[in-house]
Amino acid sequence: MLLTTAPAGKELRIYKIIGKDDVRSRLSDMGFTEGSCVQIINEWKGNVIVCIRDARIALDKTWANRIMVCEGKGEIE
Amino acid sequence: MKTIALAGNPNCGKTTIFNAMTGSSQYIGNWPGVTVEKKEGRWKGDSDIKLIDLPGIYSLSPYSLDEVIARNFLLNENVDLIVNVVDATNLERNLYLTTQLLETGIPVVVALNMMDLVKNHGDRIHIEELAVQLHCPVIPVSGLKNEGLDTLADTFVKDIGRGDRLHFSIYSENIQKYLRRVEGVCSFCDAAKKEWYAIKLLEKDEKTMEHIAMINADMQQIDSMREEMKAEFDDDIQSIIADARYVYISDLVAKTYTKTRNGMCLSDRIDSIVTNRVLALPIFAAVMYIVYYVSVTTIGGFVTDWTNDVLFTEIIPPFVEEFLISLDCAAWLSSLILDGIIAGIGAVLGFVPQMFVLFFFLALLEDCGYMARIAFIMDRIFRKFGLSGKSFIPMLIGTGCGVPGIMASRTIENEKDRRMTIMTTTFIPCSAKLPIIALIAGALFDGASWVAPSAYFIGIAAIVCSGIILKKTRLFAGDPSPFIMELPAYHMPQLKNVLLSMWERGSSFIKKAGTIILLSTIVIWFASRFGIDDGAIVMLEEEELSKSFLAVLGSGMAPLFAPLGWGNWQAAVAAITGLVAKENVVATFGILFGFGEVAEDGVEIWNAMALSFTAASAFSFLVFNLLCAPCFAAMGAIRREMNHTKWTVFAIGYQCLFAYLASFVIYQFAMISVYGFTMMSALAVAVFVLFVYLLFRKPKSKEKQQQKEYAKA
Repeated sequence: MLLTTAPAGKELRIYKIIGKDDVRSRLSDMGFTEGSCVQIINEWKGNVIVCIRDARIALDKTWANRIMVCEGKGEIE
Repeated sequence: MKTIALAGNPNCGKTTIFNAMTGSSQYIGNWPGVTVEKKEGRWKGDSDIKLIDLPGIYSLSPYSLDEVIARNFLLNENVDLIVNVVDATNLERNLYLTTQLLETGIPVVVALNMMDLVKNHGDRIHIEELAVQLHCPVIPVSGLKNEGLDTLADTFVKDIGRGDRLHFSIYSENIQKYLRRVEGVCSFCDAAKKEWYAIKLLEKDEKTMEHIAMINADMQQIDSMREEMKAEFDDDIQSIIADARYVYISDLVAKTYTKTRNGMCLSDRIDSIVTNRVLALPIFAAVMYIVYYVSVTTIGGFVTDWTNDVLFTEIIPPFVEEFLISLDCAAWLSSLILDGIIAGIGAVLGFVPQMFVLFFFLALLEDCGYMARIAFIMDRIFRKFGLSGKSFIPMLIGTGCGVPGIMASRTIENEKDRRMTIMTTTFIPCSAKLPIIALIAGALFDGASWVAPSAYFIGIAAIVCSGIILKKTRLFAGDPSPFIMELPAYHMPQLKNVLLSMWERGSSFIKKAGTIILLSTIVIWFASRFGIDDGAIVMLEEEELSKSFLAVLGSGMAPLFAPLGWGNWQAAVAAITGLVAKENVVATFGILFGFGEVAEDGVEIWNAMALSFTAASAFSFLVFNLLCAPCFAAMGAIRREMNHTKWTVFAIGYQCLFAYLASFVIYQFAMISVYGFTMMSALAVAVFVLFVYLLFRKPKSKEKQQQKEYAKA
């Protein structure tokens, strides 16, 4: 599912990041890589605040829609 | 001379460490993007060592202007050593940049900042192990508490000349085999930088490629290696490298970081209320209301009234007058001092207390971490009229002073958004415009409580309307850049930081009163007290002010402003002197209307003003001065940030035109009830209709643009 529609408070895992190279590299600079764990702190009409790698990051819908997540813990291999 | 650069993620405490090591007092705040340009200082211990504080970066691939500044400095200037400031509470993400800095071949010392917070959380970091793994010194520090900075200094002094760093690679053998092959082709750089260039070449980094001279055959060889690597990993190079970095870092963090805490921390709990979908906006509105209510009306207003009405009317002028009489001072000199300098500067300085209260609250908001949340909350609203939430921070800073406000626009990635933010930021009343608002409110509206908030409302409305109108033109078309921003953890505001930041901003206001405004008041006094009478330059009597140079100049300009309702020369002159500094508007009125007898109470100027203005013309005067071109300093900032003459002229021209038309419409609409419907009213209606059309028309170019974008894709 997309990060925008994912449930808040649950441990999620990023399985895919969609987008062009510059979008992906911007996201990976901020800590979003495939396989990493995220948790939604707050969601507001598609804009989200997430916790990733111990940082709190605010993303708007455009960014959040590029991040596909699935439920369930799981360490980065 | 040796150069040490402080580099690190945004908001990891670089400036705090910089201040402690150089003894300077650069501005600190708890949100990403406080430092937007590089700052230079000399290390306290040895003035032969230069420290450079850089804007924060997440990686060496920049997205916004402030990040470009940091990257270019690190890569193109001769940096002898990098102090990589790392936020220890967020080790994993911060080390991502560290891995890149290590590859540049420049010696790195890691300063592990905010160690006090890590200890408070009950976590532990194995520092020796971290240093061994990273192959560079790691020094635990706390910039805030001034701990560990001596050790950090000892380390960089020892390390600064040492170039013979042990080479190590963080990558797995699968990746290294490609890197070594590319390095074989890189004959243009020394061994320490080879891996860096290999990665950049594989990533096809444009900025790096520009600097390298390479023959085509080599280029082709690298191209084929790139394709081969892509095929093996089934991903693009940037992602392969980024993943590899994080794999290395996760492993490193697992070995060196012992974590005890889990679940939501206090900061998250505050966020779940403050950025809550229902409560976010009411909380924001309440916070802003309290800030402005307290600083303009209650505490600030009370102290300002006292300074204006008592200190600068009952105490200082009579005292100075007596003193001047006792010296048997010449009449013209005592007039210059009393009617020129004291009346002018006094009118401005009276507002200092109000300003300090406002700056205190703004500093409080910044330091606790709420500022970054405001950007997030406002993003949804700002997006509707074509700006991103990041445009709100420049505007909030702009309520203090437009110059840092305009500069804060550097954190906005999209060039169009940035230009639009620069153009509209100064619509928000800055602190220097507060005196104008207070003067008009007091003189003509009996201190009505709606005047001050209406000034802010007009500022916001001007921004919103400009956003919508400009976004529909071809110059600014396109969606605003998507919003992504790190939110700092909340913390209790540090009294020292808050007071420092309040003093920093407030004192520049006082300094301005002592320099440019002092000079202006003297010039205005001369120009208003001297004039040509019977072919000779003479000092004028009280009743002859209308013969002065200033009156001649003002009368020349006045017809221009007559349609706005304030075609008298005093108001025209005040608006013009306002371009030098907005405080001058009030200072000019102080000199022009405060003539002759020392006012018995501050209301004296108010009465004189009330005579030459009507409510409608005064409001139109207020609106014009709020929206028109800002002071010289801010215009200079616009020019610097636009970095383009055409854009600067466009921005300032737009502001003046917008201000003129807005005041025109307001005044003429108000006049309909007095004079009935005239030619001017018809013109005002026409302007208004045009405005509404521009606001609601369909963007013409949008469809075409979409088609173009589809064609590209």
